Amino acid sequence: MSQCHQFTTSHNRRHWLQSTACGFGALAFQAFAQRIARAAESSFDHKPRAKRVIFLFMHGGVSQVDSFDPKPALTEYNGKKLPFKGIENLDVSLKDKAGYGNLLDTPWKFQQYGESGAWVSELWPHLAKHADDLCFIKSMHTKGTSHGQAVSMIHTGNDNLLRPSVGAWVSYGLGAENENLPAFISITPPAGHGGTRNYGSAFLPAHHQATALGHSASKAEDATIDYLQPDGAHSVHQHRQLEMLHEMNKRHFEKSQDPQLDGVIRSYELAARMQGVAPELIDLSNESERTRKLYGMDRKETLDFGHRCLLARRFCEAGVRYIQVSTPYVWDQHNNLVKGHTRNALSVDKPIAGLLEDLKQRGMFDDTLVVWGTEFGRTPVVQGKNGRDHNPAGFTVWLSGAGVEAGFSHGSTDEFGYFAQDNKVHMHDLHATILHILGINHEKLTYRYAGRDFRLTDVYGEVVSDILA
Amino acid sequence: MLQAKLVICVLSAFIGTGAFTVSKAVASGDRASQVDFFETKIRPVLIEHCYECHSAKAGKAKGGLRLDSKQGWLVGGDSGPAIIPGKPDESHVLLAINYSGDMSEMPPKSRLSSEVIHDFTQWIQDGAVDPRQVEGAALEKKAIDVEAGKKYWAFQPRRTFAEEDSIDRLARPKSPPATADKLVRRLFLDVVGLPPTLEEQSEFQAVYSNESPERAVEVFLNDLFGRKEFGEKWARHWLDVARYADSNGSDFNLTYPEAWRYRNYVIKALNDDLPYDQFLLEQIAGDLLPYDTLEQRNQQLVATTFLMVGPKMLTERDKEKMRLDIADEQLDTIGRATMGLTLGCARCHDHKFDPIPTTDYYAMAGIFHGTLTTDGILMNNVNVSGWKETDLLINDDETQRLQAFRSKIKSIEEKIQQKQQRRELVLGSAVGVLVDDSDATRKGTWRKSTHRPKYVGDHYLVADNQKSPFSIEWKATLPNPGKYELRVSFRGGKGLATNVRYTVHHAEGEDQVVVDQTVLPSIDQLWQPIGQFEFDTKAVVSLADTATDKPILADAIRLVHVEDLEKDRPTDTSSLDEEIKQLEKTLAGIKKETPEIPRAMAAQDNESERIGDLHVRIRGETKNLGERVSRGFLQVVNWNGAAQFSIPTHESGRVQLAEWITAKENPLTARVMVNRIWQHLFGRGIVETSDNFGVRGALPSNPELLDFLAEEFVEGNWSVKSVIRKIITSKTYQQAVADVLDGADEKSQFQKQYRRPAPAETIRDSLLAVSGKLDGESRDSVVSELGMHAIESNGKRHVSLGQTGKLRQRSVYLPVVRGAVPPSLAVFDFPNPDLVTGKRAITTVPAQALFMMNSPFVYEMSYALSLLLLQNNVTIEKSIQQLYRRVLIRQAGRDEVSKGKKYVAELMEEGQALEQSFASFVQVVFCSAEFRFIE
Repeated sequence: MSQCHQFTTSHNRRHWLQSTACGFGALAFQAFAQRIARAAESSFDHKPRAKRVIFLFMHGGVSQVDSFDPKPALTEYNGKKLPFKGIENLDVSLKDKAGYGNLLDTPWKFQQYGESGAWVSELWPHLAKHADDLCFIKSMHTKGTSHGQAVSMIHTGNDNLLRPSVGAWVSYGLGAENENLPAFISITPPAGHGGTRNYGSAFLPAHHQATALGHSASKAEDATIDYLQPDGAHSVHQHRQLEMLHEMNKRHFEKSQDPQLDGVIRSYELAARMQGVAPELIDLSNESERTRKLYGMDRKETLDFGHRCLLARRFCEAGVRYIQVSTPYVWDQHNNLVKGHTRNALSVDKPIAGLLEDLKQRGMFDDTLVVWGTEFGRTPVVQGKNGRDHNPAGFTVWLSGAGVEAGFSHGSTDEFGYFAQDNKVHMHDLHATILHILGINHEKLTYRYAGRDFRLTDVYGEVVSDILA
Repeated sequence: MLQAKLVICVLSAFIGTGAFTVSKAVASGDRASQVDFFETKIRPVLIEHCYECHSAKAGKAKGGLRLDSKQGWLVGGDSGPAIIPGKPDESHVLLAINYSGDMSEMPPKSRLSSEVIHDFTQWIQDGAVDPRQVEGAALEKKAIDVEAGKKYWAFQPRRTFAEEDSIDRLARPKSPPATADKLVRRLFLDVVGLPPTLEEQSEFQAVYSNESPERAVEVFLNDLFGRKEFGEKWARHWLDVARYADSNGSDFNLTYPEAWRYRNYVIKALNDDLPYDQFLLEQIAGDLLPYDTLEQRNQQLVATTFLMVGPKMLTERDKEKMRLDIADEQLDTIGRATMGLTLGCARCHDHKFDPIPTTDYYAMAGIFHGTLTTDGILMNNVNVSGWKETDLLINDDETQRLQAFRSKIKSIEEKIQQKQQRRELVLGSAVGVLVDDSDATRKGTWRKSTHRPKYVGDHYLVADNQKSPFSIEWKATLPNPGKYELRVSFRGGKGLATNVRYTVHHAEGEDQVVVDQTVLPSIDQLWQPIGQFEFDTKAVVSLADTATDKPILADAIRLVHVEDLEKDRPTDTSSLDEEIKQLEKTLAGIKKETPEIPRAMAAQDNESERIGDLHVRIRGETKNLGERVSRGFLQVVNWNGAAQFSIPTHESGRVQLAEWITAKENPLTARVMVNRIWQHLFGRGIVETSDNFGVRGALPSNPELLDFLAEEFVEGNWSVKSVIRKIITSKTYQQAVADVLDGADEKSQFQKQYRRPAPAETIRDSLLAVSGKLDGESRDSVVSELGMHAIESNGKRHVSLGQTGKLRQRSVYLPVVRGAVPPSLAVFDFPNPDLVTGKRAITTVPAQALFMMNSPFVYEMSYALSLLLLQNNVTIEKSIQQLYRRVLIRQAGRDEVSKGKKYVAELMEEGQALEQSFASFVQVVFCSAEFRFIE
């Protein structure tokens, strides 16, 4: 690694930058940049409140009534029948035997925190300390009773068809802040439930897709970008190879003046720069003990997700626009709610709180939007003996950082926490709001494909202006 | 609408506003008071909650509906009139504000109060008096003008041509022919996707200079058309369009174990030059076509895999929605692939740009709704649908042989079933009352087992984890009170608990009996009598925690009245058991010998009752039914005689659809295909948007040329090879590439050839070929080791998916697992297999550079070629010359040789071995732009 690092930061990088600045490269790049700018320009019709987004994805479905949306009625009516019609197409056995199921009280205690008095359950003790930094949306609803649909919905705004993911739209709209890195990074993205389509670019140009670090089943410390570095023996002479290659390609280009060939030259330059920058970003060895502790990396239970969150902060600092961090597919507690949610919340609570704290300490909290979400919530009625089924009709997400009202709660569910009731926010609305906070009008950020102008929110979506700071 | 009525009543009851009953009495009266009612109760609500999305002022009419005038709701939106005066329960507005589930919930953010809903109900009941006049633009339903739409160029008939017309006459090429080196490389890469060998290069060169460039091309083209590599190259172009993959992707990424047959079908069809109209017919309706041989039948069945390889949301719990989604996916694929029309756009509303009304969409969707492609369930989960598979029988003998095997298997299975029934009868015929473990109440952890040779029913239970409390309780109802002998069943043996405590609740109280399960029971080695007790009509026997760390068995209990003890017949089933065992052995043997019948992922028509016309789904919503439309085709694509393709009621209509698509007169089909072919040979179509010939697509840059090719295609019996031949033998194709862009017009009109990037497969296959590593054999399944889940939902994947870099077959035979496309292809713009892709993206991104610089695959190829070139101790100069010849298909310049030599020497000075040093240089040549482009 040291070799290639030297290479890109010293003599050769300069040499290259010079060569491209004088050659066709610079011109082509400018033209390209202008084209992109024109495409997206019309969608910037207000001042951005955030420069970038960290999206924390809890894969499997976090229970709202056990986390942030307490319902005293659940305690009172524990074990009783749900007094109204539940969601169609949920667990068949549940519907046949007991109407729409029996209510299940939350096993966790809730308490109010901070000046805002936000309710948080004992599952989230560390996050609770940040209650005044959070902006809850407790009236979320989405499309899709199965994971495949809802996971696709939260990532791409469509429950069925292949569409560009939120991060790809952001990359398309804003471009990269750091020209040595892609604009969209997905740390350990889900490999199931659509896998790559959840962070792909679909019909948007390919460079808007996420650069993935591993996948959700991989350990954070092993997660890296494919082919980022030459293997040992090859690293020794790679700088020579690149010089030789550059000469060959340049000659070829000079003869023909074909911009396509210049594109190849630039891609090798960019790759070499990335090769110089990214390994250092992924390597956490220079993070202090204090920081590691802040993210819970001193404990076995929180080490892995702490690692993921710390990577997110580093990419954030380096100027990546949209960073997604995913948990493995673990939150799907059809049974053993207590065991599962306890273990899962334990593994992410401290790391997420650490991330918020760290962003503050580094002055990035004010221009970074943090979104915590899950594909759907869970039913307040019991499934099996001790579980909860999927609930796309009402659940909670929270936002924090740039652009959102801190210590605020928007919307509500019914008295049992089943259906979103007041100030309902659809997944499309959440997407519209995220784009809005980045300064993008979701109705104007479009891309023409197959004869139609597509957008992230299809024909839906409304900015939830109540939560904007 | 009865349902809607019910919903309202139920809701009113639930909300608890008992006061609200729908009656005329409350606010009827003269018009003035009704207007007053509207002004005070209704208009403010409309303004506050509805105008935002449904008024001229806001410039919005979501769902096509405006609510700012009476005419607005009378005309209504996509679902028709929004209010029916006097009929609240049929008025969509009321259904919507009631959140009844039958309509979209409005207002979307929160439900209106029950009082307001009450007011609306009453207002509508009283005739919905509304004094408001139209504001802003007049309201009219805009209907698609199909007749006007027909004037668009793509729907017009093809031009006719004079005898002397040709590609060159129409394209007017401007440049001289390409040099022999460039031309031979272009020809090989374009036709077979592999570079010419050294011998081929010199042969070509000889004809090129001794006779002519045209002659050289002609000679070699004949040769190349005869190679199977032709199909292996061109199949991939169609597979892009067919969104081919070996797994489902989507929600459950299940393996498609039989999809490869379709891939090989496409390769064979191209190599055999199967006429394109037949090719389409087989893919759309192969299962319904007549056949002369079983082989033909099989080929036609396999072709329909085309309909099925798309991604499916198999866990969609609303199965009707799933069927509509799948029909949509199939229809959209066919529309784009064959006619360049984006039919999917007309699912929720009339096509916004093309003259395709929603009714046309549902006329065609009905055809696929009547087609069976999903079938059964998977993973033992009613929510997960499977797909249809069909046996592929190769000949009559085999069919007979198979049938013989199958009937043998069936008869043995029946025998076994009979014996098992007898066995149960024997066991059950014993006197007394029997309660098996499956009817007992149990707590704690019991494991089902069939390990021991004897038990009652399907299984017995074992408790071998006594850490947590466990118990089991049998309850028996007796015919008469009296004294009974209690027997418990367990097949005793070593290692079991010796102190199993049974508690017996009887008429006189409760007794405990301790049983040693290591001892074989006295009756039939299964039943152990444990005492005689007085019972009323109820007997309860239980077995609970026992202080032991040994396993405890629990099976059945039996109560035999003491007077019947003598009548008790033996329940020995051992001879039956033996017979069953023998039969099962025979069965296993036969199953092993049974020939494995290949299966295809093939479509078939639904059972007749599921075949029929569909209702329009308003806004695409499954339950929002509009008019029912007869199955049929697009109105805008019409010609004299198109009407003959009508669909019989009892058929899905796929045959007729395919015949309609491939009719000579269809203005789109031939144009779309020749444009695709042209695009692969010039890097750009005559219509640049090769999957969209609609209004939003590009116009043909040279319409005469397009029509000329299409006409030749149709008249040449839809031969794909003939079209390729016509193009490649033209001067237009053979001209040298122009180095500088001298004007967009020339580029689009093909007066010049331009440099274009080689596709992913060509890059990978060339690397393998020049390094001597290509395994040119065909492949069948390449996903057989993956098992049911190509990738598990938790991300776990078979190790082979991470090792595609080690595979050496041609790229067309690499596994295409959705979400795990081999990196060697994915980085070079291999299309996402979820989408129909006629025109791949062209990107030049760092990921490609990283792959070329750092992947083990490229390292390995570089090293292999280095060894190959250095063998026989040739000089470095010679090796470098050979390298350029083999890889770049040209002579190395003198300075290139000397630079290469210097490069290798420098690495060697640094202590690298010769082979490594040369491999490093080989890799540079692989990385070069020259290698990645076709000139």
